[in-house]
Amino acid sequence: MSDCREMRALLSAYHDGELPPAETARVAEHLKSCASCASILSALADVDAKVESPDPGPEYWASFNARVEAKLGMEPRAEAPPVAKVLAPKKGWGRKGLPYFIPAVAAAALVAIVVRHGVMNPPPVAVESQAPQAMTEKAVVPTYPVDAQSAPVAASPTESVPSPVADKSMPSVTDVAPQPPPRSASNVAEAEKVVVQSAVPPAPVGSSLKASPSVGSAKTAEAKSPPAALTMPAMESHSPSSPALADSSRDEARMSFGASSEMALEKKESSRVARKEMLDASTDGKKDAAAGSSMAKSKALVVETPSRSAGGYASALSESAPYAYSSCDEARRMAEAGRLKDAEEAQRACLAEKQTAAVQEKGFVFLAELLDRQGRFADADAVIRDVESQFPRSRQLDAYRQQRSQVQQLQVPVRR
Amino acid sequence: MDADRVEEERDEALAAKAAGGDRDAFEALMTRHRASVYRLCRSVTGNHDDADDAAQETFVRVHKALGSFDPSRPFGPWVRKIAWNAALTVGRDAKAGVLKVSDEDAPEAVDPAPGPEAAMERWEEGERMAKAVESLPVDLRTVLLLRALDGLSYAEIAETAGIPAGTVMSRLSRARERLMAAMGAGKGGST
Repeated sequence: MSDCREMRALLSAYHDGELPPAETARVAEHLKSCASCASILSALADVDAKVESPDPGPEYWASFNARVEAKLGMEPRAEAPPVAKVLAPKKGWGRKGLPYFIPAVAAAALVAIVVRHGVMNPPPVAVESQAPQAMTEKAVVPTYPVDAQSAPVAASPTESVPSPVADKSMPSVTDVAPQPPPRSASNVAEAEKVVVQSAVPPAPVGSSLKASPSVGSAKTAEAKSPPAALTMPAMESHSPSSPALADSSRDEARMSFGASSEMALEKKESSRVARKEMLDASTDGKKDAAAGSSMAKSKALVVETPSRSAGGYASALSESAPYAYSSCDEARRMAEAGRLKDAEEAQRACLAEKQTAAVQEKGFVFLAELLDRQGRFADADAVIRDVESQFPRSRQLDAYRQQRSQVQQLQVPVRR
Repeated sequence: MDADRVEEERDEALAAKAAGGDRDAFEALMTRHRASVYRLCRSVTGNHDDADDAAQETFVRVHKALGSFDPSRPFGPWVRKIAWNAALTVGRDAKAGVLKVSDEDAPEAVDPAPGPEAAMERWEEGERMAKAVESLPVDLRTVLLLRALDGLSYAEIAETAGIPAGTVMSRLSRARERLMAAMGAGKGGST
């Protein structure tokens, strides 16, 4: 009927509420007597709900602002990329959280350093007494009482990486923070100095460190290892019952505890390289766009992984302390270590804790990913259905769907 | 950075501060608008690489033009207009009406992993819809995404795309009909 043809042209605008009143009334009247047009109207809403636009993913957004600013000739912000990288998944599109994380990271660094210097550490002279080669090769800056008690000079670097398993008396930041550290002027001044120095990207001094038999004071070494202060508490979040984890992530543990400023610098450099590759792939390598950018993204994911520890800690400070020190962080580390079943259990425990909606949304999607990686697709589907019902139009879920089949075939590294 | 200050301020106030050299304000604006800018660029260019270029170019242009922005006017439409123009400039193929689908958007070369039937159906439906949207002509796709994902009014879409509101209405109608056809919906037809 011609009336239907005319009405169908108006249904879309009627659905949007954009018709003038007179035409709205005409369409409404027609819909009362035309089941066909009514069904089309219903289908219109369904179509809109299913329309999606591809999201380039959190890795893309994490570096977006910096890339624009680079084009504008602005100096890169110190430590900005890791913060943004952590932030983006938290808020899906990273719209709101960035302003909160930068002060959170600074606070994290300050708390960690005050704790290290003011409460638990012997004076810096204890480090200076170590053999120089220990500092140059795999130096361990003592961070906990257990180090001081066990004579750090004699301990091998890997052994002296404090294991949460070994000593339950090892204080976590949550344990220690409420205790007022001895606020001697020198301690505070030193801590502030380290924080200030940490905020400045260190110069590439790796080779000079290696060549020199005398490395300098502990203060100097620590000041050149900003990741130590930031990642130390995240390492504490390892489960006390996971000795194997200490093995599987030993390199990361060394890094996280500031075992070697040289390694930290190398790691930062490789992160920069990975980011640059990603940038190059997205700007210059147009012809190999897909392969190039996805490869760069994969590299960035792998290389950037340790920096999540810092972000996890920062986000813990800004959201809820139980999150960073609970199973959530352990789940990530287990997954990155390839222990998927353990990661799944930790993630379930994480989700059983009181979490914000954003953490829940992200956490369930991550749980689905863990299940997919174990080939338990039906279980993953069940989790995804839960996400769909609890978080309609979840960006996290959308992003995961775009690469789910690759995940199921284990073609991509663990996301986070 | 005063996080609360930046978080709570309106776009227009931030734009005024960014025009005065406040980098935090500029970053906050980017963070707020980059997703919708990217979507718009993507809908115009039809592929990630050009959309990426166009989205970055948008904010470069925004930064350079902040001095001429009138804070008494809404910031969103101003940014969208810049994004639209940037996307048209960058998306050479899109300008010619030729769609370019990058490899990353192509269907998987291998069979999808086995899974429950219902999940497969949902997955396939999502894939079908994504392909259907991507295969829409640029003019239809853009108005559709601005409406369905950004929730813009017809007047706002018209302002962004530089077309009459009546054209927005007809393009949206055609875009939705094509999607319904692609998805197997709306087969009732006229009586």
